[in-house]
Amino acid sequence: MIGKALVAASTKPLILSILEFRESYGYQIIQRVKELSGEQLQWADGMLYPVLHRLEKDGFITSSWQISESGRKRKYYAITDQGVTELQNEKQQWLDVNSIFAQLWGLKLTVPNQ
Amino acid sequence: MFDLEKAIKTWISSLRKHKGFEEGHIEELENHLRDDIEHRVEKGAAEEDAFNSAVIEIGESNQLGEELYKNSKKSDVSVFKNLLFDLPLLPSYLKISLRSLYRQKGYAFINICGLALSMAACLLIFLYINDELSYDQYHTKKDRIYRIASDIEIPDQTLMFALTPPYMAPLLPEDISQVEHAVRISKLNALLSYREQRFQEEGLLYADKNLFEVFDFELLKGNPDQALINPNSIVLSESAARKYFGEEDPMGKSILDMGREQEYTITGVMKNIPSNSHFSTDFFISFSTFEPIMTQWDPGPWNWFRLGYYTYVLLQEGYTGAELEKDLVAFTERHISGAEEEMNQYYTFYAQPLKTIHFDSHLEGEIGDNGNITSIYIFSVISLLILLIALINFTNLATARSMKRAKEVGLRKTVGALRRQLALQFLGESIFISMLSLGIGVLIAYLMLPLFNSLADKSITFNWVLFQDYGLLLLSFGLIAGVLAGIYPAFIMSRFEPVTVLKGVFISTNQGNLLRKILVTFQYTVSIILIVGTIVIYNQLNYMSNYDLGFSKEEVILINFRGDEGIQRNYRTFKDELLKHSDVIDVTTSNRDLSMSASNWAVSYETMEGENQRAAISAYVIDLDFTDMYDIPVIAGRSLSYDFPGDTLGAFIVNRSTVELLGYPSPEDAIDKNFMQNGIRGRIIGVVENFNFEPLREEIEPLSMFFQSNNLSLFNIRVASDDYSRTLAELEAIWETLAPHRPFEYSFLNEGLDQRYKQETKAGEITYYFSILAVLIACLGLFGLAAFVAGQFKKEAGIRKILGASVNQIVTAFSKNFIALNIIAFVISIPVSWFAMEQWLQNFPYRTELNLWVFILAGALTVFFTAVTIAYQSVKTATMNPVSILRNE
Repeated sequence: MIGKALVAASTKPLILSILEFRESYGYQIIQRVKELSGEQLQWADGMLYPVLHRLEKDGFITSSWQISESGRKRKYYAITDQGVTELQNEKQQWLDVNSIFAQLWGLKLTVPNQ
Repeated sequence: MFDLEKAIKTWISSLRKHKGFEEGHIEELENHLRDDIEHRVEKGAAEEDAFNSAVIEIGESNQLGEELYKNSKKSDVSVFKNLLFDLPLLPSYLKISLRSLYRQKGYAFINICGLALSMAACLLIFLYINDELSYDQYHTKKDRIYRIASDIEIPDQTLMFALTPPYMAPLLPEDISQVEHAVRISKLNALLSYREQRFQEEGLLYADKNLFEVFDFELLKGNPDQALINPNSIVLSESAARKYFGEEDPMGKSILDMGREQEYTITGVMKNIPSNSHFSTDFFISFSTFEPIMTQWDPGPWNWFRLGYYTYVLLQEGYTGAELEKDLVAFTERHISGAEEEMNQYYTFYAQPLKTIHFDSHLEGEIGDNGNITSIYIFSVISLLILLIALINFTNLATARSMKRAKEVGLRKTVGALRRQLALQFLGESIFISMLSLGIGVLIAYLMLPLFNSLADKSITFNWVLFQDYGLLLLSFGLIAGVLAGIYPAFIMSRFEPVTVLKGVFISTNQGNLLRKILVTFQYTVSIILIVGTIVIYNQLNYMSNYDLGFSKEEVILINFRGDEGIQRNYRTFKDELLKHSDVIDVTTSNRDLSMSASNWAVSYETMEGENQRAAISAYVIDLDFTDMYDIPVIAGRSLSYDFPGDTLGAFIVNRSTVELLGYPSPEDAIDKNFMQNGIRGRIIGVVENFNFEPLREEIEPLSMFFQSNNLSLFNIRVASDDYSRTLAELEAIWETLAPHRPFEYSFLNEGLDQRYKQETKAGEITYYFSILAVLIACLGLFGLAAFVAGQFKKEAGIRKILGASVNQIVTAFSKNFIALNIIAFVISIPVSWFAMEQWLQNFPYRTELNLWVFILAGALTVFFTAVTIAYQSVKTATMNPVSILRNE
C-alpha cells in the first residue's frame, strides 16, 4: 500500500504522463492508473477530477467535450505545451530523488530512453 | 426492483446540494459513474452492486465538495468568476432576503414603517417646495417681467409697498424706451349678474389693454390685442363663463355690475389661471372703464400718493432691473418731485423680478399671499431630519440584530460564502427594504395629499407626470437611502468569523456600541429640538389668536358700502334701522376696518413750543361712537361723542404713540393742540391707549382718528347670535329695504384679522405635524432598539436578580442605559433649539417668552416617551427567571 503522501505527490506527474501519451477522459485515466500500478495505487475516483481541474486552471492541460459512439458526452483532456514542460520538470525532480535513493539503497536503475 | 436511472438521479441531486459544483463537474462525474457501472456490469456484477461500488469509488460527496472547493477558493480570478456565477443566484438571494425578513417580521415591520412614513413626509415636502418654486414660471417672458414697488419715506420711517401711483404705467414707456410695456392692475369687488345668476365676486382685476402682451394668460376666445381696449370690456375665465353662462357662448353678451350700475361686454374667455401664480382672478376688466372716474379726482399732489395700483413692466432684452431702477430716479425727479415736496413724502421705486415675488415679497398691499423662503428652509430641514431619524433607526436595529444573525453568517461562511458576497447580500437586503419602503411611502404620500393640501393651503396634484421628470431621482433616492442605512451593518456583519460565531462566543465590538450610543443620542437631540419647536409654535399661534389687540373684536360684521354718497348722507338712519334687529348690539361706521392698514395722511400740528410742524400719520376716519363700540380706552381728554355735535368737524383723537411722535411730554399735553389732517383743521380732543391696528408684526404706530362724513364706507355691526347665517339673511333683508341699489357686501372682522397671519400659521401647523411624525418615528426605532438591548441585558439582569436585586432595581439599571443618553441629548439640544426658536419668534414683536420650562417640558416628554417605549422590555427582563437565562449561556 502506497502512503497518502506519495499518492498525492505522484498524482500530477502521473496524469500528465498519461495524457502526454494521448488524450483521455476521466474514467479512462483512472483505469490506466490502476493497470499501471497493478492495483497498488488506490485513488478514490472522485479525487481525480479536482486535480484535473487544477491542472487545467494552471494551464497544463485543456479539456473539450466530445460525443462518443454511444452518444454520450464526454470531457476529454489533453496536455498542453506548457504541460509538457511541467512534466519534464516533475520528471527531473523525481529522477533526482530517485538517484539519491539509488545510491543510498544500492539500486540499479534503468531509465528508459525518451 | 432496482431502478438504476433513479438511483443515479438521486445521487446527482445529492451532489447538487453542495455549493462548489458547477454543472460541468456534475456531468463529468455522472459520466464517470456510468462508465464504472458499465464496466462492472460487464465483469458480471449486478446493477445495484455495480452502482453501489461505483459510488463508493467516487468517494463521499462531502469530500468531493471540499476538494473542489479548496480548488476554487485560492485565486482572485476564480472569486470573481464565482460572483458572476452568483448572478443567476440573485433570485435565490432575493428569496433568502425575503425569508430572513419574514423571520424577523417585527423588526422588518418597524423598519419599513418608519422608513415609509419618513419617505412619504419627504415626498410631500418635496412636492410643496416644487410647487412654491414653480410660481409664475409658465410665462414665456418671465425673465423680462418686473413689478415696480414703492418705498415711501415719511418722517421717521420708510413704508414699503407693492403698489404704485396710478400714473406710472402710462408714463413709463414714453419716458424710458427700454420699457416695452407697462401694465397697471388693480383690484375690485363687484356683484355681478347675468339673467338669474348673481354672485358677489371678490378679487376682480382691471388691467390695461396690453395685459396679454406681458402675461401668458391664454385666451380661448377673443383677441388678446383687442379684448381690453374698450371701456366696459371684460374677459372671463373658463369657470366664470360656465358659472354665469352655462354652456352658452358668452362672447358679445353683457354682464351687469349691480353695484356700479354698469354693464360689461364679454370680449374674451381665458383659460383658468394656474394656481401657481402670485395673482389670479376670474375676471379682467378693461382699465379704460375706470379712467373717467380718475379724471374726476380733485387735482392735487396727493393723487400721486394714491397707491392702489400694481404696475408690471416688460423690459427689452438685455435691459436689467437695476438699470430700470436707476432710470426711475430720473423719472421720479421729472414727474413727482413737486408732489413729493408738498406732501413731504419721498419715493424710491425699485424693480422686483417676477419670479421673486411669490417667493419672498412681503410688502404692504401684496396682491396675494406670498410664500416664504424661510418656511421652505425649515421644511426641507425637517423632512431631512425625519429621514435621518428613520435611517438611523434602520442602522441601529440592523447592527443590534446582527448578533442574532451571526450564526447565519457563520454557517454560510463554512459552505464557502465569501465576505464580499455576504456584505453584498446584506446591502442588497437593506436596499430592498429601502425600495419597498419607497413604494409604500409613495402610496402613503398619494393618500395623504388631500390632507396635506388642506394643511398647507395648497392644491398640489399628484401628477404622475412627475414620475417622468423625477422618477430617476426618486429611485436613486431610495437606493442611496438603502446604501446609507445598510452599509455599516453589512460591513460588520460580514466580518464575523465562522468559528467564533458557531462556538457561541461572541463579543460585540466596543466600536459598535459606541456608534449605536452616538446615533441614539443624536436621535434624542433631534427629538427634543423638534418637541421644543412644536411647543413653542403651538404657544405662539395660540398667543396670537388670543392676543388682546386692545379693542374687542368678537362677532363684528362689516358691511361695505364703498363711499356711497346716499348712504353717507343718511348713515344715522341706517344705524338706527340696523340696531332694531334683536341680534345687533351696536353699530358704528368707519372708512376702513381694523384688520386693514390705516390710511396715511400728512398732518400739520402744533408743537409744545407753539410752532407749526408737519408729519405723516396713519389715520382712521370714524364715527363718533367708534371708540365706544370697540372699547378703546381713553387716557386723556375725551373720546368723540354725539353729545358734542361739534365733534363732526375738526375733533381729532390720537393714540399714545402719536403723543410721543409729536413730542408732547404727556398725553394731557396733547389736548387742545392744533391739528390738521386731510384738509380738516381742528384740535386734539382726546388721547387713547395704543391698540393694534396694523398686523401684529409691528410695533404700534402713531394713529389719529377723526370724523369725515364723505369718507365713511363701512358699517361695523356688533352682533351676538347663535345662528349667523340666519342673522346675516335677516340683516340682508333690512339692507335691501334701506339700500336696494347697493349690494350687501359683508364680511367678518375676525376673519380679516386672522387672514393676516395665514402664512405663519400655516407654516407653524405644518412644522407642528411633521415634528410629531419625527418624534413618532424616533420612538418606533427606540422600541426596536430597546428589545435588542433587553436581550443583551438579560444575563446581567439574571445575575443581579440572583444577587438579590428587586424588580425595581433591575428596571432602573436597565433604564439607566437610555436615560444617560437622554440627559446628554438634552444638554446638547438646549442651545440649538433656543437659537432656532429665537429666530422664528423674531417675526413677531408680540410673542411668547422662551421660558426654561419649555425646554424642561420637552426633556421630560422625551424621558417619558423613552420610559413608555422601553417599559415593556424592561419589566419583562426584570421579571424573568434568572435561572433559565443563565442556563442558556
